[in-house]
Amino acid sequence: MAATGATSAVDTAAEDRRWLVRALVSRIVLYGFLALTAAFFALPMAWLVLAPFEAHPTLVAGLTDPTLQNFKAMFDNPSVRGSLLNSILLALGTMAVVVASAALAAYALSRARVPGRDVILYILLLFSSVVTGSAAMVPIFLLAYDLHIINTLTGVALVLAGGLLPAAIFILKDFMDSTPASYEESARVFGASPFQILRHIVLPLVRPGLAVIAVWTIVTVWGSFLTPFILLQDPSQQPAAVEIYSFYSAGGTANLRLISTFGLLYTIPVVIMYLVVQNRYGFRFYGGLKR
Amino acid sequence: MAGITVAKLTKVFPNGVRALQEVDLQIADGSFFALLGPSGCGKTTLLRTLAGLEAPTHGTISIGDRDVTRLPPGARKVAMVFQDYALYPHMDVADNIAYPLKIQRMGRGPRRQRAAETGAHLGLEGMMDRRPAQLSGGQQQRVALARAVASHPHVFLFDEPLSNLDARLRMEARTFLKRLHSDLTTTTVYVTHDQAEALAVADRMAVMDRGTIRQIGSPVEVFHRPANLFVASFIGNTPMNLIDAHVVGGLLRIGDDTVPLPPNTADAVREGEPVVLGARPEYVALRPGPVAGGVRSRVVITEHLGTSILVDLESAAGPLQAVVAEDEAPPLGSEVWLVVALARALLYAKESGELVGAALGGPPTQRTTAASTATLPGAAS
Amino acid sequence: MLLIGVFLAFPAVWTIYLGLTNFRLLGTAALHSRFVGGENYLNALTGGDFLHSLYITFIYVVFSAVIGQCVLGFTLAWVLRNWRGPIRRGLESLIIVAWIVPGSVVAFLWLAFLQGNIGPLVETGTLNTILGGIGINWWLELPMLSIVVFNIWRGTAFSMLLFGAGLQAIPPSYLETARVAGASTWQMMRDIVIPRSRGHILTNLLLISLWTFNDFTPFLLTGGGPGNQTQFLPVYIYQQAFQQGALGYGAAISTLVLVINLVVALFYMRILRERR
Repeated sequence: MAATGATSAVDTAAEDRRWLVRALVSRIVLYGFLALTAAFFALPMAWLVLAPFEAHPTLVAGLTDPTLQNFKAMFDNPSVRGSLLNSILLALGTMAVVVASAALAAYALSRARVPGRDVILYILLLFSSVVTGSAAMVPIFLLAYDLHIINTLTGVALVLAGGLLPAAIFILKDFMDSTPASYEESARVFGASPFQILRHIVLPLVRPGLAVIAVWTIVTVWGSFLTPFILLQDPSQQPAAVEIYSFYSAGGTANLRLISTFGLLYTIPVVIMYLVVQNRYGFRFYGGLKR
Repeated sequence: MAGITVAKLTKVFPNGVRALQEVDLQIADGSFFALLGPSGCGKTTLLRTLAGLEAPTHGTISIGDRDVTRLPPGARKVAMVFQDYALYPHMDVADNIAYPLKIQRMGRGPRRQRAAETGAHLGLEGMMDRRPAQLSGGQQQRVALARAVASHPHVFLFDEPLSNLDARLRMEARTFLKRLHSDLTTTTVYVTHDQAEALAVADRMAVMDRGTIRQIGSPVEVFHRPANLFVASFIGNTPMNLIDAHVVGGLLRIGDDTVPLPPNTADAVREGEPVVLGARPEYVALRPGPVAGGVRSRVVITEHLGTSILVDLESAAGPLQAVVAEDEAPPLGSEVWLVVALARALLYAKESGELVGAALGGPPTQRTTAASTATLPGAAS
Repeated sequence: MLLIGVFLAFPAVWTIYLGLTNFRLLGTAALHSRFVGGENYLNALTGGDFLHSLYITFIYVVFSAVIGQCVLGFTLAWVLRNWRGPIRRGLESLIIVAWIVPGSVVAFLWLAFLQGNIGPLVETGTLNTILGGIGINWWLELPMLSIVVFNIWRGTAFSMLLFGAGLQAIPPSYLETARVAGASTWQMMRDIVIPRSRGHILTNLLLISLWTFNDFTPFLLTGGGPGNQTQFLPVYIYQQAFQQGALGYGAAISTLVLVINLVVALFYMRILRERR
């Protein structure tokens, strides 16, 4: 050991230097990667943030002549106002159906010992993410046609709710499972009826869960394009998602001022809702939070 | 094999917590060194900084004569055993033990061989192809040890390796660790919050508090002569009685009572200085009637400790404790006079909290042991 | 007790009803296509259009979801796992916003972003302006590449979040033990992270494959064009059923697509179960 001590010390020093260089290089690569990623995700978004405030927007993101005029012009446009109203009605209606049904179903499923319920739920969940997707557009259209709910907002809301329910039940059941049964048992000892238990104990306890479902439903419905696109023929019933598409898919030169402003206004609610949920509840993860 | 030198080590976390403040520490080659302290004192941070898992804010760390401060963990030739053992559930015992060797690019044959040998040495024969989940807590702990041993590191770092075991297993594992260390004589740094464990396994130890080292010494030194009030209150099965007093006329005034100064302390204190008299409950006696040098107190509670009885007392100087033989328990509510065995008592300055004078502390027989261990660190090997 | 019965029965019936609804939807499709004749299926399976569409959809799923979103999402989750503070929050928010902005808006953003100086929008987009005068009209010249990149941009958030949760479930001491032994990042991935997060990886692959497979956003971007270069199955179904009016043929393709979805789902679940 003693004889080789000197040479091994030199080797060790060289090796130590290699370690340090390697650490430095990996740090540079890391920051480079993060910068590129940030650019990749930020650049396409830049236009949406800047163009609405630009007097004469082009397709290039930039801000040379700031103005708020575009917003005034947009609010004067009747089809914009109408479609936003449709979107709100659709989102709230669907949310009401989903939250009410999911709360009842999840409570029952959480408390009852139904054999194989987890499997049933999982299959339902899997199917719902597929069935309401584009693969089922033809059957859904035909069904809606047969039920005479085509061309009505109610029809769209019901179809969307049907697709969202399994996932909503799944999420809510998770919340209900994690509330201790002893809370309800003590209420039963006081003589509370099942409905009183649900109203006074269970629902307040799972309020975060209900909020998650409500927000998630609204965000999903707000952005959904295909179902209203197929089921609604009348332009006056179109929600914003479809309306905005018609602005740029129709022939001729697109009205960039209208599109950018409308797009931003239409986007802001979901971003705000995301921020609210994020701040109040943190991000609790659920398998099918968004499709 | 290598000793460890830590110089002016400071660690400030991004959230502003100062986990280590200017820590200086020398750990002799081959010693079994314990880092002891309450939770949050920085002992685990110090260990993780030695491992390279945390980068120090200031200061340097050398292992042997090599400055490793900026080196990544893998370059330091250390092995660490974690509190939760960190055994990989998806690998069998042999693969777990051999994992560091795999990283060192040892071939599959030789490393399975080395794993088997190490496993056998640690009493893991016949378990090499099991998964960690199929092992008992004690066995898992030994697999984690075997993984550290198999890579032949220069230093072992143990982060509370016994805290997940139940009381009986912990005793066994403690003895096992001690024997392993005397076989291998590899420098070992051992973090624990359990002072009994530190006293039992280590041949040197440091007591830490809020990011600083409050005392370094052999376990016997630390136990019998705590260097300051923090160590005095932290070390010991039953906490040391720390009695507020004033120096009046070369005596200690405690409430209305007067107690002589412990030997070799008279020159170190000023008249009127506030001091703290330290006396372990084991080193006091209770008298049923007034006695010169006794502190008047009243019996509040008595607790059986098996072969002895712990008596909780109330006095003008605050709550006190005494340990008496099991047939000598005074009746509850009675008045007693607590007499401190002055030869074993210690005196601390009230303001600085530091030990004053040359009070020896501890029984004379153990004191010689303390002296010999202190002068010959690592003599066990 | 009576109320409990009602209470349990109603949601149970509701769930069964839902199951029936889904089922009936399938039934309608199957019936309808059989009524029109089995030749719809034959046409689909022998005619080039369907197979072409299936093939490019497969390419699209593999490159944008399985490779793109999964790898980028995993890398981001890994890199960001120990970070706190504004850089992480900012980057995560950017990625998540890309995911939650409504499809019809992002579609236009990307049309604008990649626009060359030809086409209905006679201006140059941001990317070409940055690149300076190369003037590729991405959507016309490299539609497949463009749409793959778009979908990576759009969907990486989900993988990042799921893997982030997965990585948090690995005790830090596992990785630290490996680091003390001197393992490189790649070795830690191979020996600890990937074996430990197989469940998350498979779940993620299942979900993002299905979502990408059924994604209708390409229609908003390219309408299947130019030609049929990005005519993925959902777009193809829509064009056949609603633009051509061939509802029966569309339904037949729908059924095939559902079967494919089911096969893919069962395939993943099989692997997932084998692990347990």
